[in-house]
Amino acid sequence: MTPTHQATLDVTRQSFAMLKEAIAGLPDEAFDWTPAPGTNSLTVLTRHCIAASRFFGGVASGVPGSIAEYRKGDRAEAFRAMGGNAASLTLTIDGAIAEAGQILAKGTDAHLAEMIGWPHEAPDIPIRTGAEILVNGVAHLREHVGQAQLMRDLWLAKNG
Amino acid sequence: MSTPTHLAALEDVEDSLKWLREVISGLPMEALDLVPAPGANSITVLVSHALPSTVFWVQAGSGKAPSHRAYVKNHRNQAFEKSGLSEADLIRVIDSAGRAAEAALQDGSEAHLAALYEHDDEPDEPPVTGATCLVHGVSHLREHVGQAALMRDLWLARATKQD
Repeated sequence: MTPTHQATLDVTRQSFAMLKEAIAGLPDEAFDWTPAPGTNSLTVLTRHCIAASRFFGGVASGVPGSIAEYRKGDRAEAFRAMGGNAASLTLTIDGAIAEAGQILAKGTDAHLAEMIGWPHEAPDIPIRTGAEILVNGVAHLREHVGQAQLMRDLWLAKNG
Repeated sequence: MSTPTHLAALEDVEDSLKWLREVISGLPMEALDLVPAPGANSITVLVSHALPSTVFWVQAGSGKAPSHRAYVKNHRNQAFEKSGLSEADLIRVIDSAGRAAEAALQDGSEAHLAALYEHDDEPDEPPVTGATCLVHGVSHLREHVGQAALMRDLWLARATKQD
């Protein structure tokens, strides 16, 4: 594993731990609530950032994947998700942490320098290095963890 | 000469800063200073905290060995007290941080990724690799930009409701 893959794994573990803290102890109704039009629920945020971390971490660690299949499958499913709760999502996050370790352990320097894109499946996504996909993937995870933290504060402020 | 990881960090920082400029665009000072819930921070505080932090971490991951003591004293402690800044004031903070991050990251090398960085004021804190400094710095920035984006949505939803 390269220092960059190891760093990504460390920050991924830390970020998922923060996500578990953000959802801990919240009642079931908090998980399908959205704080404003156009925003996502905690159930959707959690499912989406897990699916994206798995896909993009794999792509940047030598596991080629179809972006079209990801968008049509795991990604679309995450945005339809409802009915999550603290216990079930915590179990899912724990699974994602273990899976991230297995995926990122395979990362090499060649994977970081490799140019990756899906010009036929997704011409809207620029061709990027594996390092760009890896770093962007963990930053994307943290983006939604930060939002989940704020949503916890908002929920508690609104509902005591 | 930079590495794929340093270039990736630079691209992600630039993307985050572009998004942050969009997030604060057109917001009045009242919105920038709004604290949406107990325990949360205003957009002004998020910008004032996240930007110097990003510069600190990307410098640490690029062989610059910045002082954590100086960062805490000169930036971190004041950031959480900030208020009353305009969109233009925050844009200046963002632009300055963007230039400093780019200057640091363009000098990054493979040796910097594996080198260990130690805080000069926290001897009990385990040293971390330069790669960890970079990935942590980039992710920490995005964490707060994501929060600021959600806060913009909340502000606009509130404003629409009052119209």
